[in-house]
Amino acid sequence: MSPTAIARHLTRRSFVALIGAAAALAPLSAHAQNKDITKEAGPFIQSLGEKAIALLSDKAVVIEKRNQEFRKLFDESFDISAIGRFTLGRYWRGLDDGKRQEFLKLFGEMIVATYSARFTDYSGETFKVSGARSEGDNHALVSVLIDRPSAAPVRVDWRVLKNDQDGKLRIVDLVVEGISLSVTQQQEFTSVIQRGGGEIEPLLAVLRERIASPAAANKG
Amino acid sequence: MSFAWLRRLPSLSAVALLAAGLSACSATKPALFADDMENDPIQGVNRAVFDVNNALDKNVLRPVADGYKFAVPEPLRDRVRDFLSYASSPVILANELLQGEFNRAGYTFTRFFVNTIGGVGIIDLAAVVGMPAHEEDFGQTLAVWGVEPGPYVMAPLLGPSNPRDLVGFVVDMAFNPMTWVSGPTAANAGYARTGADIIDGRSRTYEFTDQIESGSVDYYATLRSLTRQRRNDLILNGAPNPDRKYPGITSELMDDEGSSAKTAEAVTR
Repeated sequence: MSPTAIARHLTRRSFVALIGAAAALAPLSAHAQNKDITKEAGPFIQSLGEKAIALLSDKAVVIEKRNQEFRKLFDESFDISAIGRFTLGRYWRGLDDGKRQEFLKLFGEMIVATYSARFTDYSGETFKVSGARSEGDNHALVSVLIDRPSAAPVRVDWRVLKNDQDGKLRIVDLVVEGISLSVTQQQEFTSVIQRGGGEIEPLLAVLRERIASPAAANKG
Repeated sequence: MSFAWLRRLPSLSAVALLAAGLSACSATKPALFADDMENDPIQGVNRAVFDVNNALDKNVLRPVADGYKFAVPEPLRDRVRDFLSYASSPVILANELLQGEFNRAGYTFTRFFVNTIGGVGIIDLAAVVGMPAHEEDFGQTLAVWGVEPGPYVMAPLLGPSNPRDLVGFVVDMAFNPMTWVSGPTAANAGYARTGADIIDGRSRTYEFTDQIESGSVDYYATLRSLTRQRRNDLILNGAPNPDRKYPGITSELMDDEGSSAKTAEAVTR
């Protein structure tokens, strides 16, 4: 529909309705212009940490149920497609849509399998947001101190982006004592691809293997 | 070589002063490792050395460290660790001065004072009251002065490194008072200290490295990235890395990544 056609269809009544809708939306868009998200990012991370610890310290829940819950929490808090895309570095652009979807699915499953296996040895760590700073529009870095009963506290920074479309906050990186998990994963995946002659298939094979038996990888 | 170096002291202090001047006037950014650069031109050799290092680690160092852990009770192992940390404080202090980090140097001096008087060198009393040790070395000092690290080098026995940190390692040995005291006893004490340092350090890191190895699909590449990011964090003294790349949501960002990754490839080859 061309602009002139739209104009022709705009009756006086619908024009009034449009103005009304714009007026109703005005406060909302004024709010959206406030791009500093530190005020919402801190509580977002704190609540996520509390949910995760509640999940980990609930000894009554069966493993499968806990893994399901963990997966749910993970899916809604992390931007897995942005992270997945990043971890393939320059190789992402050479992939067709089918391969991209297949990789993202395997990547998500691999992360959940690896970390839910690792989190079984929870032993009374506490999780406290110590600050949040703005890194630009819709972008914040939330600092967390994880206190361990028997050792020095661990410093973890959570990089949070706000999606303009759905208004949701999502984590895109975790930086543990200066070590970024996304960067490390990228360096590892691109190395596997490069050593496999620039093909994605060897990486997908390793990921499938890892998902099938996360325990087998724990050979020590 | 009994105190012959004392005669060279004037020239040594001139170097130190020049260095301090350099670090004071060059308010430039420290030279960091790029997150997305492989910069590993001799990867074939490095991977071969890595295999040998791992074999030595599993078959020699690890049994020794396990034996040490088994034979020596934890409180005593803690005293060894605290003494080793105490013995390295002159090196830490010197590097902080060379970096122009006078507040941090003051902190390290306070720690040294507290641990000498209150802990007779074997109890890290300062850490107990909330003043843990800094980690500094000459490799970090060179980075603060803007010296680039050079390519990745898997050093035999020493492990993941680069030309900048290898130079730093040698200079730190020269900084260490133990290296310069003459006589067989002191020399042996020096070797014993280095040996104990390695064994003690390894006995405390198994759990960590095992987790990384079991969780990764390319242990060599993972360790390469981890080592460099860890060095960056030490160089920045824990401040956020200004050059950090991260996953974004827009396609422009993806294009940026694509092109910077291409540059990395070009440099690598």
